[in-house]
Amino acid sequence: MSALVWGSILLFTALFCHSVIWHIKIPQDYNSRLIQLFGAVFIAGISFLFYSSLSQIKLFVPPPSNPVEYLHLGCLYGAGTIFYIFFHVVLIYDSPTLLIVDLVSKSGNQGLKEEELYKSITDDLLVASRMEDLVIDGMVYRENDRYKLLPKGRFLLEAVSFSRRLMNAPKLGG
Amino acid sequence: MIILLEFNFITGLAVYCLMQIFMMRFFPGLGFFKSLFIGFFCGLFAIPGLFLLFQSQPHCGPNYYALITTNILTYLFLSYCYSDFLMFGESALRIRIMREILESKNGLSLKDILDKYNVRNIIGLRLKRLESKGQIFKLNDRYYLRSGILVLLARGIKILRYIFTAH
Repeated sequence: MSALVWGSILLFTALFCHSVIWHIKIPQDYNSRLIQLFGAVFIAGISFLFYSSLSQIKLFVPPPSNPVEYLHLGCLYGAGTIFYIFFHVVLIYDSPTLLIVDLVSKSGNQGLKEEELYKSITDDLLVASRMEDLVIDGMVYRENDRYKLLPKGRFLLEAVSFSRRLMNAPKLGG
Repeated sequence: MIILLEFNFITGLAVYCLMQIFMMRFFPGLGFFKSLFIGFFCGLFAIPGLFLLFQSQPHCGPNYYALITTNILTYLFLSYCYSDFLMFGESALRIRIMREILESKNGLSLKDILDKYNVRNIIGLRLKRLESKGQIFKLNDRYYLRSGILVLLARGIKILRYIFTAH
């Protein structure tokens, strides 16, 4: 019980801190900042729980009582953190499909011409911003205005290719 | 065995991955999304199923249910990551661009990238896909919305984006 309750409390605390910080300023290298933030909340939370169990402070839900419960808490929190890092991409990038649906929905009964879509959705929004993020994430680097792959990007491509080979899927998706 | 039951989400995740790969390899006609769907539910049901099968004595206290819930939540988080990673390989623009860069001899300029992956190409393809899946329809050169599911999704993401990033 304590792993579930405290794991959830720590996750919500991290999300709250993240929301406050991002409202002030969104960091450029948001992935590493998210990892640092969630890591800091975890360390602080575990220290607090450990301290409260040693000094026998009464909490509304008792802290984990053995290493297995701490491990449960760690797994839940770690999985929640990885989930949020994956999900955060959805919040940062504008999905072309959802942008189209949103714009067509806003046009209501009048409908929307294809040309009108291109006024709102630009190359900068869809492609150039992604290239900048690939540079910030350390996947590619720019040399004389040309983008080249870094080992991290190569590794990601290898991992994707491996998963697609396992599934017997073509090199590129639909 | 007890430790395996305690960290049952690992088994659930293994079932998900294996079922998904199995479906893709041996039933390719099902398609990518159905394989994800089937794999996900097999993994999800494996978690409480294993508890019922291997728990030597029935435990029905709150701690027992909390343990199952913790495992299911951990599974849900990790299974999203697995699905997302596979979908990333399936359709992400960044993966396609990085592959183009890898296959080029001397890297690519933004202009080279935009020649192939520009808004007109990307939006054109998406419009066709949305039309073929019945989400939107075209009448007198104008697009209209047919289904509201994606609108709900788009609005949900907008709300979350506002909560977490103030955009």
